[in-house]
Amino acid sequence: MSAPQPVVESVRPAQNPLAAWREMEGVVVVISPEDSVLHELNPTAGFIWKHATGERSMEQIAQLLALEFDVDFRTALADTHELVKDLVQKNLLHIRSGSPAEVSRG
Amino acid sequence: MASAPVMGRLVARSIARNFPLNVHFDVTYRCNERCVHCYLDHSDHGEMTTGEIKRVLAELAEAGTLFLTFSGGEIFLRHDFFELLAHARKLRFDVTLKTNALLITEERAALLKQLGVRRIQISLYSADAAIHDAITKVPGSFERTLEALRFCQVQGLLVKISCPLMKQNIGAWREVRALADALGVTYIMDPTITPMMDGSRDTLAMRLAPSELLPVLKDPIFNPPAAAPVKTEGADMAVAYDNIPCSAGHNSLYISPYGDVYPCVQMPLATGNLREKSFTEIWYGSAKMQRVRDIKESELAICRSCAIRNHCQRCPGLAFMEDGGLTGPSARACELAEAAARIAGVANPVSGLRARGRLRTTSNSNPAQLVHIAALGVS
Ligand code: SF4
Repeated sequence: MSAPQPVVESVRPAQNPLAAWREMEGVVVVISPEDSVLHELNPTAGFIWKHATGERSMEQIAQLLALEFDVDFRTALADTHELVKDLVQKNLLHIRSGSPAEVSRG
Repeated sequence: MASAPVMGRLVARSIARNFPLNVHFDVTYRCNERCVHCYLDHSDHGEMTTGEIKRVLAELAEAGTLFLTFSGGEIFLRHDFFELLAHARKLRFDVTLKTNALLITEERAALLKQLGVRRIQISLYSADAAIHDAITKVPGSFERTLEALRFCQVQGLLVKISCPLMKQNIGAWREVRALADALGVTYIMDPTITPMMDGSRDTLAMRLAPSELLPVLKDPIFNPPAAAPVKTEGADMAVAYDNIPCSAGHNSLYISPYGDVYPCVQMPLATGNLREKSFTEIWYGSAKMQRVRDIKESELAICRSCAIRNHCQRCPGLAFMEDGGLTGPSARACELAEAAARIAGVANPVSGLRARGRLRTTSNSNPAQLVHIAALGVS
């Protein structure tokens, strides 16, 4: 049995499964299903989008973001919160919540 | 779709890099209607299996296809259609369906919405049930199609009515437009009638002559005020299309139910078969596909010096199918360009073929070049 996981924020962003999307030459484009708007995500938002599997927490995504863009964790976490909020408002991302144990599997 | 500059950039990038952004996929040629103008052979000569189509879809997703149109034949005649659709959505394509809607029930419309289908294009030939049913040769098809259309609307699917125009429904463009307005759906008039797949030109007898199309072209519903923006995709789109005839083979392609890959549904130039080669091998490796890609507007022998080129909507696929080849003018394109120029106020328009004494009096060849003109202001 593995050691108990630390309690982490259990908010896990997940792509809206009804959205269509592709990445072309590093640029992520997403079509929001309700209003048919085509969104072109900036590199940070595109990175978050691709990692929003519904299994990673905000912190885990921020950690990956910090590594990818060579920024400190605090900055990455703030960016993640802001961009997730924006993508949720556009109904491109949904928020899942679950137990830390579930999160630790992500 | 909103966010036009984003679309412009996407299209420009895909054309510049030859990413297969748009795919028109006919999953069957079988049909439950027998429309008088149809160009298809409705027998099943060996459609791709469920597994084969799923493999192709995965290859397309990998290659970058975003916009996927499932068409036919009648798509819902495939017993596995919902399985294919679910797979396509799992691969995150933006899916459009083209259908006669006869097989769409309330439950199926709900399932389409649930699966994430965004748009559905339904053929409607008239606001008069008798005319519609005479064209489809299926009694009751008008009522059934309209009922299904409403099921789709209730689900919030984006519905578009497509009205192919021919001699049998020559006056239908206004009444179908009015019906579309009343229903609150988008409308497109389509005067494209093509030769049949087997080369037979019988269907061409149903095409409207330019003189019959002129009143349609002149109709204010197809001529928005000059101040209204026609293209809003921005400069990127304009640059992308600057010296190429169209998107066929650049970022768009067609796949038949038998796995043949063509640059466009209207360009019957088989470039490879997906049962023999991978999609990437065909798309990037076919000499025929490259030949189409290499065509530059500035190199079209007669068209490049044509006096009324700005009024012309020459379609290379239809020119290829008819009398112009991939790079030449077709008689029909020239006739229709002259008609369009007259409408625009050009006193004596002379097309490239006429200037060379090679344009006979009005032929009844294909009016597909008018599709773009006709679609203005109605989407
Ligand atoms: S009118 Fe005829 S010659 Fe002129 S551009 Fe069109 S197809 Fe070519």
